[in-house]
Amino acid sequence: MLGIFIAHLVFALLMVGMLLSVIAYLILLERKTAAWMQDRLGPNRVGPKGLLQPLADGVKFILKEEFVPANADRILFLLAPIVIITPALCGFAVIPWGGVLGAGAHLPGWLGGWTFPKNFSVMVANPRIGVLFVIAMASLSVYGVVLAGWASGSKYSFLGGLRATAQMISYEIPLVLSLLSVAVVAGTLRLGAITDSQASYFSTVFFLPAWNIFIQPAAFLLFVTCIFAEANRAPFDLVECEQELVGGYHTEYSSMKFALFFLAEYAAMITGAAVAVALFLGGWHLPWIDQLIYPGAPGQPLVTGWGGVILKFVVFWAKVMLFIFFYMWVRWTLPRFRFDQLMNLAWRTLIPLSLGTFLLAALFVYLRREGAIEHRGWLLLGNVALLAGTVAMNQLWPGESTNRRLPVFNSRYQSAAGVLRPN
Amino acid sequence: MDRVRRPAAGGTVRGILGTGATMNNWLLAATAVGAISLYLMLPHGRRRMSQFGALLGVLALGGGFVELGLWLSHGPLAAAVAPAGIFFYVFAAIALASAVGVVCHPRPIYCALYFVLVTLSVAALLILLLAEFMAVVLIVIYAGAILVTYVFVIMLASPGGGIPAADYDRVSADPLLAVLVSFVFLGMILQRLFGGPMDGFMLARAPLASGHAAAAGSFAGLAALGANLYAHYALPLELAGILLTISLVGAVMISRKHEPVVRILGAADVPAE
Repeated sequence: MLGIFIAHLVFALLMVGMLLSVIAYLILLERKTAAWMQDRLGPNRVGPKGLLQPLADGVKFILKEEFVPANADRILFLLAPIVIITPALCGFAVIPWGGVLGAGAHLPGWLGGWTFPKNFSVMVANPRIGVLFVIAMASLSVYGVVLAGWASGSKYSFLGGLRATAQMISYEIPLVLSLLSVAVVAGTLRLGAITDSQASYFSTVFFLPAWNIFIQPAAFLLFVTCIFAEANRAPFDLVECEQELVGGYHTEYSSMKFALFFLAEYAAMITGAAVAVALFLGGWHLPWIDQLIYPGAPGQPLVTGWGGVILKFVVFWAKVMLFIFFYMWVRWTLPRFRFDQLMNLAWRTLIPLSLGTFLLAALFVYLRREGAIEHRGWLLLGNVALLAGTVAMNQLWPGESTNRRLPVFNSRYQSAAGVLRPN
Repeated sequence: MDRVRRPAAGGTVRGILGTGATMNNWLLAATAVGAISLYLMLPHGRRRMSQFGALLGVLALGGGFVELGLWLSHGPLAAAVAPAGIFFYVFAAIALASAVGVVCHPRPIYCALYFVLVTLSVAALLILLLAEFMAVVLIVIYAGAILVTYVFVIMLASPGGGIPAADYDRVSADPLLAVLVSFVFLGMILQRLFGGPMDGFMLARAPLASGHAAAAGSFAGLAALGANLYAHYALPLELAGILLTISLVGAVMISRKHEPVVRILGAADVPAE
């Protein structure tokens, strides 16, 4: 029992170390991707192909001056980076990185050759409420942004903080509802169990792996939109948009305190990507060739030895990296929303759509329990119909357009009273 | 009150104090001292008084904790409480201290943040009771939604950036009345919990007394919780849902923009020069 506890602890330390170094290189990846998309070279001076750039960045961050503005609230100003990085790093604890290591596996001889007395889930913790834990940590991450904005004593930071609060509260609702739709179909809140439930194939549609992205595409779309908004990434980065707010909530921060905001943003990105992979993209499941790797189709051995665990770990991280590339791709593809568009998208489109997805999921879970129907194919059909219906509604609904032309006369854009008054 | 069921631990403290104090009187005394210390700590603008109050409060709390710890470790719940160990005391102390912060801090934004701390430590206490679902839901709803809105409103209402807080924030309005009412209420609850026929923590007892394994099956089990909620409390649940929907619609109605009254500018609006 103690041995397993220590194994989880060691794994936690390993993951935090791995994470922080991955984040450093993600920043390089982001810059290289940006350069690639804009037909530039990107950082290429430090080391071969610019590969040592993250080290140079780190040294630069440490050597910069720590500056606290004169009219900042000192305590909260120092507290905000801590508050933002802590939940961002906590979310990792419940991600199932590599399936389950079977009992009886040995550590290599140079590590003491200790034998695992029972099955070891390759994750830091496996609570019954895994999905809810992720949601709780995501909901706490807004405090760092709000505090940074308020405590800086600067109007740009303050406006950034205000926008962040409104945005994160609004997008949390469809986020939670889309996660619930998945959890209801899987019948559990453990992320590991939800991943395991995806390691099979549709029985109606051939060769389509039973990943949740194929079972509930609408929920996946909602989830992706919402984690983009929760991570304050483009096209939802109004919180820190340079043209209006200088740097948004972290305008006044410098040196390592600014670096912590940066780290938190990337940590939130990785958490979001990892949750998306675990819940929607099949986790460690490698489709089609899995039957060659794990003999004994169709059900795969969920509990494996070292080889299986390492393979699953690699597959999981490969998917996470692809998803993170998707983040960066979107950033350089879509323009930023306007604030009213942002709010309308959340409240008028995403929330009704997520309620519909949740109702569909509940309906088919009920039907699956009543009679033996294949819920996967029906859920896929229902989700596609829902998405099509939303698009159609958007076209046909007689709503006011937010981009309508406003007459200047008598509107708030009129330059001065009486000047434009017709006689 | 039957003194027979009273655990022996009270006797230890009684021995130290050299009085005939029972568990009840000890707790009531701690409540009274706590009330005085809270009164002193509430913002009057006198710094020394509040430091003295803090010291007194720590003493009262410490006394209460010692008594509670001895009572628990020797009492009928000893076996059930043991796994929680030191964590219970740590998180309970954080919760109480930050609860004092909520009412005593002169700057509203700090009060709200202390409230977040209270929520987090109470969530930790719930996890110790193996009620993870309750704990996480508490964090999501209170810390993640309601208190964020508080912070939002406070940020809009109170100036940041080195401007001192307003008078009504720095000095509490009716400290004596508030302390009296709240602590008389607290004393009444304590009297009921420890002095009445229910003797002890009825809430804590339900999952703990039956052992952790049973608690895991009944209290924290998500499926069991849902089944219980819909089987036995379906009507209250639906009513709460309807109430929330109504308030949602109401909020939309209140915040809806009304079409501005278009006023055609007349000659009177043009400044005569």
